[in-house]
Amino acid sequence: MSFILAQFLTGLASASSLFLVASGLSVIFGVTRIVNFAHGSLSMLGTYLAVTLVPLFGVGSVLGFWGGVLAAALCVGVFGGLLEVAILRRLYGSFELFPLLATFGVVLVVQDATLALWGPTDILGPLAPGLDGTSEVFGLAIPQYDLVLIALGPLVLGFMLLLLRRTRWGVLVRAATEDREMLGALGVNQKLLFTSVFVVGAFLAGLGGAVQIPREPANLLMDLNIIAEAFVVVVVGGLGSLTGAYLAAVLIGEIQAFGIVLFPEITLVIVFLVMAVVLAVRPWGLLGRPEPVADSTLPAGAVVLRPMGKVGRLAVAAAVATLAALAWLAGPYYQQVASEILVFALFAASLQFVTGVGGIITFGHAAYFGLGAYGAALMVRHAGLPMEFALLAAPAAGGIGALLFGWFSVRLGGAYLAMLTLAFAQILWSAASQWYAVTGGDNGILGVWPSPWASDPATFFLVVLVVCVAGLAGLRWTAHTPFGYALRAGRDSPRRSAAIGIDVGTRRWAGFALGGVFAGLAGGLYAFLKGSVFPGVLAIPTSVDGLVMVLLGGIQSLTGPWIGAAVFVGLKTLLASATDYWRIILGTVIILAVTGFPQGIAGTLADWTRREGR
Amino acid sequence: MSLLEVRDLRKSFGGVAAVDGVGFTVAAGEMVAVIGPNGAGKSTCFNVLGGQLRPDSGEVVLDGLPVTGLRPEALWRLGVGRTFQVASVLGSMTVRENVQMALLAANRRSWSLTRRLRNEERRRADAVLRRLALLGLADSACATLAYGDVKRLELAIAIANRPRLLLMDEPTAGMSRGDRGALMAEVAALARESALGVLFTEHDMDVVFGHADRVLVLHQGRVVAAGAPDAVRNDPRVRAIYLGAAAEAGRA
Repeated sequence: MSFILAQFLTGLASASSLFLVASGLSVIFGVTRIVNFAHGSLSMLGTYLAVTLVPLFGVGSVLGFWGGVLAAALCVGVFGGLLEVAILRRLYGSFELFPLLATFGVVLVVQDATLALWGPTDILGPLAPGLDGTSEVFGLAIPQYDLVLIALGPLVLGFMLLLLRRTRWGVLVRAATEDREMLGALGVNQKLLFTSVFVVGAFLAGLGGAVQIPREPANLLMDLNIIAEAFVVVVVGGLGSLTGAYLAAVLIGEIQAFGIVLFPEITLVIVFLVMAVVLAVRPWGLLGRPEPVADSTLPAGAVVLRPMGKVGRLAVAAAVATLAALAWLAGPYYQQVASEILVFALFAASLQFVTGVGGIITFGHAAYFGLGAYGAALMVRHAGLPMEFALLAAPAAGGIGALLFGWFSVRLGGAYLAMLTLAFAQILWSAASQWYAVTGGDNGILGVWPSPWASDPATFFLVVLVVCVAGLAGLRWTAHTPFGYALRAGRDSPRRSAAIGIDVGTRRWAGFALGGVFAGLAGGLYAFLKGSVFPGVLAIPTSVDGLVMVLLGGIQSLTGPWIGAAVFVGLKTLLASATDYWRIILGTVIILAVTGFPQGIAGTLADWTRREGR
Repeated sequence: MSLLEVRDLRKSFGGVAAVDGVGFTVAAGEMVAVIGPNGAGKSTCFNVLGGQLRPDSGEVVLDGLPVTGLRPEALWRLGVGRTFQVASVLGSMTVRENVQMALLAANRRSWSLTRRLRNEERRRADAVLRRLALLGLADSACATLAYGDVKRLELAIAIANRPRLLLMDEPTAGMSRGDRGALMAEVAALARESALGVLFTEHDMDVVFGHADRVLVLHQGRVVAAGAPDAVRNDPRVRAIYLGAAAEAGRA
């Protein structure tokens, strides 16, 4: 009994911090319609700033501790405001992928900046003076600081609700959240409102991170862990509902508190199952209101699909022939690089099929790549099956995963989709890195070697070439079939598609699953190419790599992913060998690319929306 | 028996009755116009009939078959075509591909992974395009069309599968005066030829009184008048609704 109560209180304490972060995310989304991927990074900055500022303010004193925590949160708030002014302001109303990518660029930049400023080792924060002991609650010794945190969540919730109900600022925020046209009619300085909302949201994220210092050391994995948890909380609670976010935070916090004791290795799987149940019963979350599936803005340059001309076919034939010649002409190193490019081209093409053709903006496509890789590796290492079977299991694993996760995420549009796909990928990543018995955890699965007949590097390279070219051709073919056209019809106009008998939701689900099949195939090849699998194949950076490849090649171009993959893998190979800080460069490039030419892309989009009249 | 029979249809939004007990019929080959001031419930009524909204109560019967609350996809297969107030076409496809998709989806062949779209239903699609004088534009991308052509393409999509009932929400909105007459004449000819029932809303009274066989007047979610165009035009209640307080004051 006492154990249950103790765990329950620990869960409540974690819930408060989670709620602070999630509430900021929710408020920012409500007003600006931007899903702030950098929100976890803001929270991480809050933690790092707090472990630095609190000692400066005086470790021993109560004022020093709380002053430092507050100052850290304020700094993060200001930083959030700067982000809005410098980057996000340019992206309101643009193609929904752009703000997501831009905030992800910020994630990468903040990650490397934090590494540069604070170093790679975890930093333990000071304890809160006067609260470093335990208090007796119902005969149990409970850390006093936990009790403060337990109170903090409801306090901030109450304060935010008051702020929203009783102040002019709150009225404006609610107006913007619920009825954007009314906001325009009120004659409000929207720029100022949006910036202030970012400041408040970032402050909450920073505070959520800063109050964690006595409980958790500052570390570089916090950003993505927190953002995935915050996404789960916001989605389970219902987008835009602060009370819902608190309830969901308590739910998730409690699952983690009990799960870590009862089922330490599959806590995250339980989180996923609970989320699945909530969303199956209430697709819009506990307290969320149904939003009509937003008609997505058409991606830039949504152009008519034409069959490949003679020149194109010759070019492809020449490229394939040249690649095949590498099997005899080049050494193992170049064959390895070429294989990697081919595998990522297939991965990027499967993502292009989902995102470009289907208009489904996913941030977790690596989940299916990783499922394929792990599926293949497990077949070989645990089931003892040869490569041929493993390469069949890989697409099956990717497809089944996409079918399962897609059911929850793809039916819902826009923001829910982006958050859920990312959360799913992060959950899989955590499971892969925690479940030592099956996945080997961070040690990965080693010794995933091709069958003897293909073990020679040149032969294996040819296997990769054949499978990837077949996969790429398959995806291209699919885009030209009625299936692919119907998928694209759903992207172009959900309303028209339904009116001519296309069930858009089911079609998107099927398209998403098919993308998962091809991603899984690429993942399976990747496992044999590397001879090993690590949790990194599932991680969010892999998903974003794919998106960057797709964007480099042109989101509407079926051939684009080939080129995008070649350029990206080439550049990354160069950068990674030249500097440890390739993330900051990649992040900056993403931000500049997305904000730098909004006219070019947004202009095209405006044309499209004008024609569609929506 | 009527082609379309609507009985006591109701739909409210947050306590406000947008459609409040509407009933009417449309016969095969008949053109029926629904008119009424803004907020009369025309669009809600259309969206219920087209399957975009579910009614709170009431019945919709198509050719003897109850179709109340069916989704747009199902209605299309049962022979209900639909055009929207703001023309809605598949923007990234050519004119011909739009019609091909409409034909394939109607026959549940839009799941095929074994053929290219290019040659599917091409002849039937071209026949529809020829009928609406769009064949010359068959290979053009929708994005390059003039708005009048987009409106006609939308009509081509809606009639491609030879529907029995055509729902048109403001078919001529945004078109030039000359294009309006031509489009409606085309619709009228189609209705006569293939016994197609047409229900349309319209703001342009020339279009309404020039092409409708019957006119239905909605006001505050109810049918206040229905009948031949001339009878409706001279109905004092209709005049009161359209001219509002001014007419009342003039009479007083």
